[in-house]
Amino acid sequence: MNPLQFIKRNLLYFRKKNLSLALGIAISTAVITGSLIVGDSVRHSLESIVGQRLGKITHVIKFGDRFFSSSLSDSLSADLNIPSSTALMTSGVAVNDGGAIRIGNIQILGVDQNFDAMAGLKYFYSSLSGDEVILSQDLAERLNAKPGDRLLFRISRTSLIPLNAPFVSDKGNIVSAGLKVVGIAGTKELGRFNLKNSQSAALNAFVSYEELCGLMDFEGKANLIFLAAPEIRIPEIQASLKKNWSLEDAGMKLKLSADNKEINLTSDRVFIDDIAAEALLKTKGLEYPVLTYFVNSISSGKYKTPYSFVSSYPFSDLKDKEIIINRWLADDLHARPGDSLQMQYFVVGPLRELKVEEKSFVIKSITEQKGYFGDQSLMPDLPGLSDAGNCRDWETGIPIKLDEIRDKDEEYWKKFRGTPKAFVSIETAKNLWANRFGSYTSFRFSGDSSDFKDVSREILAGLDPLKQGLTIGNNRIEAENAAKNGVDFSQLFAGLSFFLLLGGIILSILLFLLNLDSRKDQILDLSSLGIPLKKIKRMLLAEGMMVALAGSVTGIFLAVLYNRLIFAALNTIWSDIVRTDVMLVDIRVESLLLGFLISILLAWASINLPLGRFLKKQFLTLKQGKTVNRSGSGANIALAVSVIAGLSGMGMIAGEILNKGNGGESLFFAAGGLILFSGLSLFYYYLKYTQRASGQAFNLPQLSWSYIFRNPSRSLSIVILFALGSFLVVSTGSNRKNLFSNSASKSSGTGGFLFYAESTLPFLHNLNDSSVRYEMGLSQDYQFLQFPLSAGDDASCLNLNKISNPAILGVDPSELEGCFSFESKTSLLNESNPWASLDTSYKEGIIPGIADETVIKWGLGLKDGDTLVYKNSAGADLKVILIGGLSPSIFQGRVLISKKNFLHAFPEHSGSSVFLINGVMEDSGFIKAETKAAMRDYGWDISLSAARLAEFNSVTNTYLSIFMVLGALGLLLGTVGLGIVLFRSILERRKEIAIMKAVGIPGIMIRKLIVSEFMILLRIGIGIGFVSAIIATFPSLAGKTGVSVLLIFIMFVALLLVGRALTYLFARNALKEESIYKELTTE
Amino acid sequence: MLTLNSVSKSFGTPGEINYRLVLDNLSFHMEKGESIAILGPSGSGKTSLLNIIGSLDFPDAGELLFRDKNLRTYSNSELENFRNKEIGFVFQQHHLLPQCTLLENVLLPSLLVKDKDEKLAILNRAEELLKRMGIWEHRDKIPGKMSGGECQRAALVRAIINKPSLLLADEPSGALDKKNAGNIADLLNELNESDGLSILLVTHSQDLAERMGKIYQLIDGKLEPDTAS
Repeated sequence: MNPLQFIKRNLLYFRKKNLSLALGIAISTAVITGSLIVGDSVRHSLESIVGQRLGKITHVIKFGDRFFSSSLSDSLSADLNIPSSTALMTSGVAVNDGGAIRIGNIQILGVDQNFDAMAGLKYFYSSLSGDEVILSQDLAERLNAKPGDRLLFRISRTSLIPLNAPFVSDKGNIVSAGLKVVGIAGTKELGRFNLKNSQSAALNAFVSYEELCGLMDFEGKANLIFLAAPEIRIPEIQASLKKNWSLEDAGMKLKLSADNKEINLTSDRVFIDDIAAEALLKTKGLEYPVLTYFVNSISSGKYKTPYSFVSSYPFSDLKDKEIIINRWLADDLHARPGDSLQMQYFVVGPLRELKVEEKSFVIKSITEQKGYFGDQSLMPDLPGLSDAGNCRDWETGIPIKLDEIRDKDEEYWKKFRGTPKAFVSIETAKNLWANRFGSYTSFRFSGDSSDFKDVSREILAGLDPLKQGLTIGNNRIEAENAAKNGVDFSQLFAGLSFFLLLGGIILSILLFLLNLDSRKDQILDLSSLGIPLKKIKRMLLAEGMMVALAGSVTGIFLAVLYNRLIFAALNTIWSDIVRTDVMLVDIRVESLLLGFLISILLAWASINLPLGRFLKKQFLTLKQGKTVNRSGSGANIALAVSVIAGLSGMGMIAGEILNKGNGGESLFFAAGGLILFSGLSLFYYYLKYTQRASGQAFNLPQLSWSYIFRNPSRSLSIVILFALGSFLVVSTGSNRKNLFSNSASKSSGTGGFLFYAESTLPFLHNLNDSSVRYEMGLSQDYQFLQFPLSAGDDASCLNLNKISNPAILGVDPSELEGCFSFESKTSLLNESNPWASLDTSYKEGIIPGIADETVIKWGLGLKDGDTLVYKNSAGADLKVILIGGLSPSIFQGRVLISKKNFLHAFPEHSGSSVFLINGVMEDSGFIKAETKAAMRDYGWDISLSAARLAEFNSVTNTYLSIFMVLGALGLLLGTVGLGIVLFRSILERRKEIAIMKAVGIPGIMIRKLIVSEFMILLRIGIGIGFVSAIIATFPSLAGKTGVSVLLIFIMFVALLLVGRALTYLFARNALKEESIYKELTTE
Repeated sequence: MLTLNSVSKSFGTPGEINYRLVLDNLSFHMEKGESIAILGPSGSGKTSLLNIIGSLDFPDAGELLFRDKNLRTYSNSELENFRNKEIGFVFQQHHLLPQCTLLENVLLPSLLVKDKDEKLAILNRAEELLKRMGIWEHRDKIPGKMSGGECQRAALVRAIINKPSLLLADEPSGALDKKNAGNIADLLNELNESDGLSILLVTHSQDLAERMGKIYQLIDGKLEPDTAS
């Protein structure tokens, strides 16, 4: 007989006990490894989605709302010797079945012949021609469309000129096109193409590049270049871009002035933005900049000339109020030098609101229409205006009073077109007409047509495309990082399964101890045979570890099952938190090994530590007859820990209440946790230190307490188990969001707004303007709030990817005053009116931003006071400091900055895409129907604000449900553990129970004694857990989140009742044995 | 007081190798105030007989009359009450609750008592008995801090705290040294003589048996008076 044989015999003889221990360890292994597999699988799924949405694309060159020439792609491809493709991307709405099916938020992609290479295909997209469209599978399914169907598309016009720039007509900003479906693009055909980091499938409609350009009414312009070159570095692309960058790419062109003596630089965008202007002003050969504006009227006394261009004049020192007018105007106004003139003109607000301004001038001189004064090229190219045959055909962004246009005006137009009639200094012109789109309309350089090349070179030397808003991104790497660093489901599920894991570990320990208990005599016999204690321990540990090994291996298989179960739930009942249908199971050997190793380590700890304690206790009892050590340093440490933790917890709460701090829910949760810890430590101290009063009134409760004191560790483990269990159940229950509670309140996550809406195509006008409403067919009964939205990723809980630049929403702080609630605030946030803080800006151009606290913390992995770095329209860094965190709101996933700061950073941005609507619930049906009808061509997606909030809250609730379900499983294991403790306890006390029976104590009383003992522990455990959970979730309970106090009470009572019932059941079964008296006898 | 008529008790299944008939048609009578010792080799059925008399076990056949009442007709609660009021048990091991003090252990059978006066009377009796046994000064100590003899004396007090009519003792000195065994025998004798307590003990010890009024031998499942003593 050697130790190995001895262990083998033990393994076989005690196989039932060992099997149950192996099962306990298998559960722990399954939980750990299963969580790792879930994490791997989600990560793998997200990484797979990167390939599905980018195909072979590695880098993407974007130009924001601007356009480069399509030839740039070919130049880069040739220069760098890499595959490239150019595209024009916009958004739209698709309509099928005569309007019965209308799907918005579609990416309309005009792709060139080379897009097939990006998709890894040969002749798929390149087969597109004319009015043909290929739909992504998801879009086809939603539209119920198949090849051969004809669909109507409403496409957002991608105008070369910013849509809200002055004098640009808003007519035709939505283009309608009937397209024939010629193919369906599945995953393999890059149907899920999406530049946004999201696991949700984008809805795509692919048309030929030429077709989309034609629909947009321009040609040879694109806003995207795709590169497929994993090895190329961004500096190489930048260098090539600079080398191949042309004026056409910058949206500029050169032409000769009317007298052919100067070269005139103009922009497709009409107004030349300030960044480009700054570079142009420094360009060698520049003569002067020009700003020409279209004014409503110029009048002098009773005479008035309607609609004229007025330009800056660079050649004399005109003062602020001085003006030069041409002969025609002087004649028309009967004006002479020295006379005063009144000029009226429009300035255009963010939503095309027109405001009439007026300025008085004194005529300095009257000039003939020749040279600079007769230069038609001073008039900018304004589609609808400069190309109109006569004044009555003007289509501008401002209302033209046709009745004011006289015949002589028509004649002037026919003869001189938009030749300016008046001239002011450039400073005056800028003061009056500079706007967010630019301060100049052209730049004049010296030279003639032979100098175009040189001038062009000089200009391009100063025009850095990267400073014009052009960005080059390694989208592949960014997407892979976003996927890799996204929501860590390994940690998440390990955390969510924590209680289950704890249950498994405690169960393993208890099962192992139960095994040891039943072999107590045998162990003592071994010792009496002279086998050293160390050797006995080693053999028992080896036996335990062999069982653990078997349990861990079984656990690995169970982990796969556990993973399948979780994935089945994620694809069905918990699908709210993943929002995709492409979750793939990924089982990696390294994760299995890691799970196995962690489990073995945990098993070793779960076996070795209790074994040591058990043997120590047994041999101490044998030698000294000692049973319980009621005092000692452990007790003092427990008391110190209890006091420190308790005072810290209470201090945190007091500080929060007195100072009205910003810690919010997390602070209370931490305080609750500390108080839980304090309560448990205090109980341990009580068990270890406090002497029980003995003697005189010896009764049942006293006897129960004597058993509780007899084994402090066991008593504490039961209390811990149920304290944690009840803390978990009550705190998750308290934090569950009532999806529709208080939604009408201004301080709620809806801000008190009835509807939240988004439009696929931006709406350019103010929907509160009565004339706009009349035109749109909207009644006057409700109010809109309109917000511009920048491009960017969704950082809400619906996106699993790690987001670094969420979409920005521009808000008017005054409109949101008193709305929503702040969960956390920095010192930069105005206490009385937090929203007003958004209108400030700090040094180095840093601007304030607000987001949902959950987005800041979980979506972005940041904290209040941290800074997000974006690129503004000019390609410069836009730093947004997060000054406050909102309680969960309908703005989840976005960063809010002031509209003022938004338009400063993105001046070319036009219109609104996000809307809040004020109204009463009774009108909700009417408002929804009316706005849907009016805005149908804009891809109107409207929902009750409460419903939108509920969608976000349902994600939180799903997480809480998972936590609760896994926690409840843990509690179930804990209850099995309780049964084992009870069984062990009865096993240990068989003789005592027998003696009680022998002295005539009724069985019912003995059962009552045991139940009472365990119920005391259960009540203490549940009590500690319950009180600390109430403290931890106090903000939720005291706030207006709609948590049912009744529900919490029911949970508390249910826990107690279930505990009592189980204890009674366990005790009854354990005491069933009739022949227990044999324990007392000698035979 | 106690009569056993044709009591049989066996273990195992008849016809199989593990079958053992330990009490075979055994009859026995004991008067109030008697002290009787039953001797017999290991496995002869001494403890089984004691358990049957103490209503911890039941015979396969025959009847057991206590004060002319058949214990078979008792309900469970009547049996518990019988054990609590009429019977006192002492075993080879003291079986004191390790977490309770000596006094608490002694008061264990009084757990059922609710009446305050009765409780006080029991407490006074416990004091008297513990003093009589010489362990009153140790009343607040837990068993782990006491000697085996002191614990066994406490177990004896526990057995008689409710003034039983019959004390059943199963090898009461089996785990004690000679001196302490002698002390226990003295105490049993004293209780029998001064308090009129009926005592029925089973033992291997001839010395202890000889301190009792009568001695029986349990041989082949039957009790026979010990003619040698």
